[in-house]
Amino acid sequence: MPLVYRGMRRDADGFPMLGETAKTLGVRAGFDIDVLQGQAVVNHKGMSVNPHWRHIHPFFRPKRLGFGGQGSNDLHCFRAGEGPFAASGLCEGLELVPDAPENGVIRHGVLRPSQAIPIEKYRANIAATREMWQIDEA
Amino acid sequence: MIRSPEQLTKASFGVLVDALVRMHLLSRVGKFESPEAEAVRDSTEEPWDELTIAERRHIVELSADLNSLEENLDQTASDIPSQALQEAYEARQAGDWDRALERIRQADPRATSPIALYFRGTIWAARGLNHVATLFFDRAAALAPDSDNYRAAALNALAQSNPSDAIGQAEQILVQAEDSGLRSLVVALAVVFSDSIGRSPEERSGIRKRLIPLLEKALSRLEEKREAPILRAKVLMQLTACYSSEGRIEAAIASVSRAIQYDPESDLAYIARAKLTLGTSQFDLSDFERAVELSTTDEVPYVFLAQHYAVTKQFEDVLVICRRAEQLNVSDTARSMLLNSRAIAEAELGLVSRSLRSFEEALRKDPSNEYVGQNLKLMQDAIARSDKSPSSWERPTERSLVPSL
Repeated sequence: MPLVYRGMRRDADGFPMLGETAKTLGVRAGFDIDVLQGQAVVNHKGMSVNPHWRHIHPFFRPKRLGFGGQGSNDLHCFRAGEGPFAASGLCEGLELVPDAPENGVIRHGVLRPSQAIPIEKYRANIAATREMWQIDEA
Repeated sequence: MIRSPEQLTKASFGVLVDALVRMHLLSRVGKFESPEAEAVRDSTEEPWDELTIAERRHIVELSADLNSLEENLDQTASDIPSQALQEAYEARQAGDWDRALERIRQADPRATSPIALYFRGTIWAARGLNHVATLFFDRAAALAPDSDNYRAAALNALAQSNPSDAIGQAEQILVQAEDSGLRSLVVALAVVFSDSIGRSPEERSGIRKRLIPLLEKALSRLEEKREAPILRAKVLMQLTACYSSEGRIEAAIASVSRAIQYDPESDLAYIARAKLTLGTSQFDLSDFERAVELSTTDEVPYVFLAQHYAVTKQFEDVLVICRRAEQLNVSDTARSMLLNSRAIAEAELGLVSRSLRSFEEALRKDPSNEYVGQNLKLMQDAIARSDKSPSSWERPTERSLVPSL
């Protein structure tokens, strides 16, 4: 299971907040994921993740961590998994698709559905990973 | 509008830079966690995806730089090793802005050295990002309040990126002109003078009347302190325009002539003097010729000289000046006049078919140009008579070719 990072808001229980935004655990239909007749399309789209928190989009990375972050300090860098950032399944129904390497380095990827499934099922699969995520800002 | 990938990337980069500046300004007023800041962040999501790797690196580095401007505010200003500055300077001169910035960042990671901050500002200004440059110049000025250079640089960059804010600051400097640093005063005068250009004639006249004594005093101070000739020329050029606005033409001519002495490479000064003296015994054609030698981008000297050479039967020179003007981005009216002069020269040199083509092109550029229409008719009549060219041509007056200063 690959090691992935994502900048998200923390819920009261310490796990990431669920939601359909760029800063919560979830996806925005039509933006993060294409939806056709209620089905999440399997293509290059999905929920954004990175192989390290320093590769997270700077405006979604907490400023307090330095390295040019401009994100709200209420955001946290969460991690899940522990294997190499390579194409593989993260858990049932979700697979990591890394972007092409840039100058030999992969900085971004998406968690997409393993197959075309209803968008709500895709969201539920993502939500099911909630307790796999823990804050790691080291 | 369909944009090329390069344009798309460029626009996206600009959006990200603007967002960084906006975030920095919001942060400075305690609004980093505000809904406004959140909206700025959200607006960056798609543009970020469109950036190249190098552009993303630039954005992250600039972001870190801007964040460093908010830290260490109570730090005493520090110096950086002169060798680091020298290396950065050489990199900048070689056009390697990334290396120049990297060297400065290494030498001044906490952004507490005024000279290093100033240097960073010059690089962002060279990149055309004056709103970014302003932030670095401002910080340098805050750390070294006695340095007039940093304040002047900050105001100058602000004038390029946010003219209305710059006018406010410039007016404040003018209120205390006597006590202001000379360089920032010169920039402030230039800012207020530039603002006068877009005003109504009455407002412009009022502003320039007010500027004259301030410019004269600034010039005296510059001369007393033996400041750079280029600065003196700059003030003298503004004085020239102010005197001219007031109808003080002799004073304007004297002023622009002094400006030329201080800055003999100023094409605008030669053009200004030619405009002021046109129609008088003081007019010297070589002022326009010198401006062209200096590769001026002002269309007036080219249009004027092309017609003058045609009138004085220097037809080869007409073709030369028109060729030089081909590279310029000139108005259709000016292009039409240049083509008209070229067509006349071509006709006189026996290049009949080229002449006809030039007249036709001149007419296409400016169908309202009555001289072109009349000359084309004269040319066609001459051909019908089997004459080499017409015995005379229709021409506008020289004065009509040269707008007032």
